[in-house]
Amino acid sequence: MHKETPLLAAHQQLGAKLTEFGGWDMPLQYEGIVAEHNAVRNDCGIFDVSHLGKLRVTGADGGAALQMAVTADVEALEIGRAKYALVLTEDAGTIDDIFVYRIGPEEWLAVPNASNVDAVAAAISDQGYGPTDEWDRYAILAVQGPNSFAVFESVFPGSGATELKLHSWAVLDVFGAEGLVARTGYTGERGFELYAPFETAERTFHALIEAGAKPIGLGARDTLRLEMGYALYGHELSLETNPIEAGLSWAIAWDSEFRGKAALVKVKEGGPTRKLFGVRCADRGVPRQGYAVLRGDDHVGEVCSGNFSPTLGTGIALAFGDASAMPEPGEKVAIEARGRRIEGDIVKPPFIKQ
Amino acid sequence: MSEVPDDRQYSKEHEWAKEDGSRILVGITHFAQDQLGDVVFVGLPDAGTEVEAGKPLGEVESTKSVSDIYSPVSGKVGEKNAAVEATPELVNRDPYGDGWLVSIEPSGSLEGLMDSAAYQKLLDES
Repeated sequence: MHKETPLLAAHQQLGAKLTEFGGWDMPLQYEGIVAEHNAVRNDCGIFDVSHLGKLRVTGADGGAALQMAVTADVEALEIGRAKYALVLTEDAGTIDDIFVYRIGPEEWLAVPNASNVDAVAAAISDQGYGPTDEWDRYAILAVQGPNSFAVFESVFPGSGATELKLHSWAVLDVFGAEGLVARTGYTGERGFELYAPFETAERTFHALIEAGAKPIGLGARDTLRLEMGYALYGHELSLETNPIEAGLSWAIAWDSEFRGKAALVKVKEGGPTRKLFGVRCADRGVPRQGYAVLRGDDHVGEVCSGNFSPTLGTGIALAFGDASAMPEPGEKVAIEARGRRIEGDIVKPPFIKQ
Repeated sequence: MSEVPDDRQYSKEHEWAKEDGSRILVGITHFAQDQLGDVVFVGLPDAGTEVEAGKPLGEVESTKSVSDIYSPVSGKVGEKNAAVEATPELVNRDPYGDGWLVSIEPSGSLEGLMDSAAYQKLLDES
């Protein structure tokens, strides 16, 4: 099915370069990734992330199915709170990483990656209950940056959004239509994710831009998350990767039951065979997914995410390596980039301190 | 500045070549830099390196991707633009001027390239 953000015309008017993400045409960039990245780090940016999935789960049976499908304890999650979780296969491979919002006593909103919506819906359905796909109910606008609170308050004065704690959400009157605002994000900056109903989304987008938010494409979303060392599905996470390898043990509620738990317990007890580490390049050059990491001439890892860090002005990378021969922070390594060596240092992510 | 100046020739891979006395200056086009986005790294061959028409002579990386630069002519690298290695965004800012990449001392002539009208037509059709 062709899915379209209600902001498509607005993006085109703003001169966005569009690209396909999980069946949606979304802005990759407007002015340029580096300028957009810096706007979020230093001021305030607004991203259209409407392509994220919106799966509504209702009823006690629905809650029980969701509980079995994800690694977080969603039945214990308080109404008004949101939590990060993984969806696993029986073998503890990762189907997706999602956010779960507790909406009511018997109501949750699960937010998967765009490309994994169907797989996550299937994983929940496998537990005996099918969620409702509400892809065209909300646009999702991420408002992020040190000035995001002032920008948000000027458009939604007195809404109380700026008093929300991190990973809390509240109902928001979005120009007469009911939406949600959450203190969540994927940039390392403070800010909000606003679930604006389709009918008032464009008005909201323009109002936030007029209040000082700069439109930011998904290209800068990637460089921002990489500087923070945040996992991205298809890079740090995949069906072949378990969350312990990816450094996401903190997102696992070991006291609850969920699909893949038995396999994951084995990984925990035996220790993961692979681990993630960070490389900060000292030479010019940009690491990319698939490039080898060398210590001397020994292959010690493979890049899963690499890019140029606009904040540091150097290349940075997340890489998987053998847990038994893990390079330590401070060690010198090189990344083999198309026949050339980019020298670098092992660092512990995040690559920048916020 | 015109996006396709008519004082030089163009390759289908979106490089430009401009005769400058006995040497050929090489860069990438406005269209190419716009497609790449922010250029953050330029890898260029040292002076004296032999290059062959149609073969990669270096690379340009942006925040989005890495692209080979193909030599529009065979010959020897005369000079690489050190300014563009130190300040890669010159490629975005001034692709036909300060953002030039290398000069080549050609061993043959410029062949198989397009004039500005033909290149503009290629862009219009893509």
